[in-house]
Amino acid sequence: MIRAYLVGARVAAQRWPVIIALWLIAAAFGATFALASGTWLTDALDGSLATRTLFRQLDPDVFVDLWYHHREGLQVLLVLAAVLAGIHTILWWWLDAVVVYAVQPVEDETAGIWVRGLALAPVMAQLFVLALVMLGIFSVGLGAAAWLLMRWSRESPSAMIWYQIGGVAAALWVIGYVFLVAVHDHARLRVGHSGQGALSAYGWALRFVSSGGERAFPLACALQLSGLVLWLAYQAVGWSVPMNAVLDLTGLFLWSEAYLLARLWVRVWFMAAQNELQT
Amino acid sequence: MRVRASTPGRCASALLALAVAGAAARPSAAAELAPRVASYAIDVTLDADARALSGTAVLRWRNPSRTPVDELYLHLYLNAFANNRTSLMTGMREEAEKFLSRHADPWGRIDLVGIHIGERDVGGDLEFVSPDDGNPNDHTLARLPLARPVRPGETLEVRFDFAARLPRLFMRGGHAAPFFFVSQWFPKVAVFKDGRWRAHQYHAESEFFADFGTYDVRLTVPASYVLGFTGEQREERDNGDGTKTVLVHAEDVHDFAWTADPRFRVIDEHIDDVRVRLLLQPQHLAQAPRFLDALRAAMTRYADWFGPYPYPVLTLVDPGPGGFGAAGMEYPMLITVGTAWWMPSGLRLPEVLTVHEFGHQYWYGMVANDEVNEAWLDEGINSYVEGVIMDETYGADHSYVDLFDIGIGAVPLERFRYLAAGNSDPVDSPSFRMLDRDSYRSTVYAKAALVLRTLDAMLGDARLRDALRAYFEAWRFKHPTSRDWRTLVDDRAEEDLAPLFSQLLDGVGVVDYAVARIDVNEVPALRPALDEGTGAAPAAETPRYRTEVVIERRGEVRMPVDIVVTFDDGSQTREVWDGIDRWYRIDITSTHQGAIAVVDPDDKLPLDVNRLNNSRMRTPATRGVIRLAGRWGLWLQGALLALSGL
Repeated sequence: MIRAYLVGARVAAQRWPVIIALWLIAAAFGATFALASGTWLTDALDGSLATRTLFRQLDPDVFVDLWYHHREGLQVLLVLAAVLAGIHTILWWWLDAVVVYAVQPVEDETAGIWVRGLALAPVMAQLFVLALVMLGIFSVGLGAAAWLLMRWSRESPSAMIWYQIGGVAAALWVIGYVFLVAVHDHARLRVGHSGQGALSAYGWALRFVSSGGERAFPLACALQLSGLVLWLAYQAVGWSVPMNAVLDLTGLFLWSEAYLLARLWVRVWFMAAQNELQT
Repeated sequence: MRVRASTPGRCASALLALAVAGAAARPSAAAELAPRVASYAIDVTLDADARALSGTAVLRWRNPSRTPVDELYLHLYLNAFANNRTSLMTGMREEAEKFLSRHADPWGRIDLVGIHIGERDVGGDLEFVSPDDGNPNDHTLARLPLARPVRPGETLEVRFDFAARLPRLFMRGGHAAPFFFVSQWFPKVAVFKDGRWRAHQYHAESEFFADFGTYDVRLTVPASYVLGFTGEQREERDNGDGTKTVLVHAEDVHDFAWTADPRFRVIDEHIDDVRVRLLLQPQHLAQAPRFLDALRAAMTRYADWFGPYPYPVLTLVDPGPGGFGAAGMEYPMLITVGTAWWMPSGLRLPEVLTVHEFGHQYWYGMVANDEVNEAWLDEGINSYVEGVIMDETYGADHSYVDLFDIGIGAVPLERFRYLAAGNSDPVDSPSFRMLDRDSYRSTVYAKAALVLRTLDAMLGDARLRDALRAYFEAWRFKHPTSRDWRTLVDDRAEEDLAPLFSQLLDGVGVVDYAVARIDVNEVPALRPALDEGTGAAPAAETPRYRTEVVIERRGEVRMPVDIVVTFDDGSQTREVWDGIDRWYRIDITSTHQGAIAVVDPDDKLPLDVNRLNNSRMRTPATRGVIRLAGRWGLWLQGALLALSGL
């Protein structure tokens, strides 16, 4: 497991051009939404002093007025976000395949994996739907069980029982989420290796992870924890940046993009490490 | 409610003895603070398993008027929970149906087993009335005709034998066993004022109105239960049968509420001369300092601004699990607060509830306005003072919420609550006639508080606070009306505020002033030159600019507003517009160009429904937009990556 963890990091580092490309694509989505938000804000703030004061202080009064007087524009922004999410998801069916090819031990031309990835995209789409359904079933099932338990204990004289049920359900969900994500990743890799269909690859991955094959689940936990540590480091710096000058804002944006780049590196690292287990 | 024949052998003498014992047990009888019109001696037993009360209440009612009274009106508010078509349940709409469908037996009621005046059983004379809405399913108000009128100043004694069942806690009172919160639970006489009864049914959107008096209450409960109540404990006795009896006495109050729960942890403190009893659920013990600090802040400021809290005790009650419907309510000498085990320190719900409900000891408890017809008088004033105290205590930018980089103070919160409900009703109107509960809460709490903030800023120099102090001093232990308040504030302000009150309290018009435009044009050189005839070249002029600012009144409300124009060299000019016409133009010719125009630069009009249009920059800045839009772009980027990692 440790070997896979370390090999994954090394492979991800070697594949930096792919990571840069993935980051640029992600940044394009962020920039599109930022541009749309900026256009709407410029119109809604209508040359008011808020165009200046929001830089230093997120005055809640401004947001009250934006919500009350410009709600339609805000709703359009939400629709745009949903559309972008849809496009991004579809795009990532292809990019997932690219990542799968990128982490294979056999060296491939960078250009080649982008083209080969296209062929695998339909299977990745099927896998995505399958994974989404599984996560949905798991989440709804767990939520229903927690709700039933809370309902059953509604007349309990102890308030803590609700928190205990909620806490246990949340912990179980996190465990289940990590498990299902690991299954999805292994299924993606399996498709790349064997050319299997989505269903059989998912079934294989489910067995692989749940049987403890090559310590797949502990590795997934270790990888997710690494991602969490990265996020904490990002937040720690992000919160401590004062917003006094344009330079501060520029620094914060750059730091945020650096974090998002690192997240993509971690994503490739996840796949490479898990690929190491399969091979 | 059913009226049955009285139980033979039960008489008022024991209860009168209770009242006498309560009075005698006092270390020293304090001077009467209030006119004691409606006093009660009550002996009640709680059957915790059956969630039931049974007992006897003796009412001593003195006719405070100059006219004989030939009937009594009684509030039987537990009957609001008797069926799903009471006025309260109807007013709660889907909320009530949802609640009722969730519980097998949520109902509550009060039955008057017997009513005696002297030895005469008058129970058969009682009739239910529904003057507010004619609802035949609502038995929360009853009329008792009297065989002999009560003369002015005369005292009538009526004994009620009652049996009650407490509802599953839904709104204000009931049980979430083993937590019991017992409010509006005994037959409570209405207020006879200005020659007529002020009596109302129990509605979803209104509270209460009653006369001052003394209460001597004997509470018998299971021995393991910890009690909290209006008033002071005089005596406690173990009955040896698994129950205990506690004798409670309260003076100069107009209601009596109590609570019982074996899980309460009692924290006894003294703040100045007041004994504070904090009854907390065990899982909330760590939050005790939050409640006490907030209470200390509120008590100190109220004492400084209006006058000291005059009662010896104040009890704070933290409702048990499932009992949050009782949270955030006020009763004389007892308030309900509330929190959750996970409540972060930056979410100041425990503090807000404490400050707000303590404030009601003044606005409702002592200054006892009619909460049904003029709810804004207590809720509005109290919400305004609450906001001021919260801002002073915790910082104006983050007094209510202080989480990460999100800070919310009183004004944005009040504006949000005001704008959210659509401004449907005038502030000064009966609560139960308002559009719905959202409108009620928005109007009598948030809008009324914003009206007072606006008034405060307009009058300046704490003149509103002085007026409120004068109002408190003039009307404590009395029943003021909205007219009394207006007259007093008008006098103290030494300004004719009647037109303003009329717009803000009686109407639904909004305040909205806006900077419509700021234009700058260079003043052209004078042509033809005056000295053209001489043939001399015109003297070179320093360029001059005409700055034109147009302010518009886009709302119906007319108020004077300040306008500030800032020039490109940083200099400013300030004007006051009476705000009456639809628009106002400022023309300034100067060597500098106008850069920013701001209407209401000192935020004196928090009632303004759109503060974004209160300013206009000739060249808008972009950095604020970039910060926010950039941040949203990054959020989306991060969220999409999370989605792809699924």
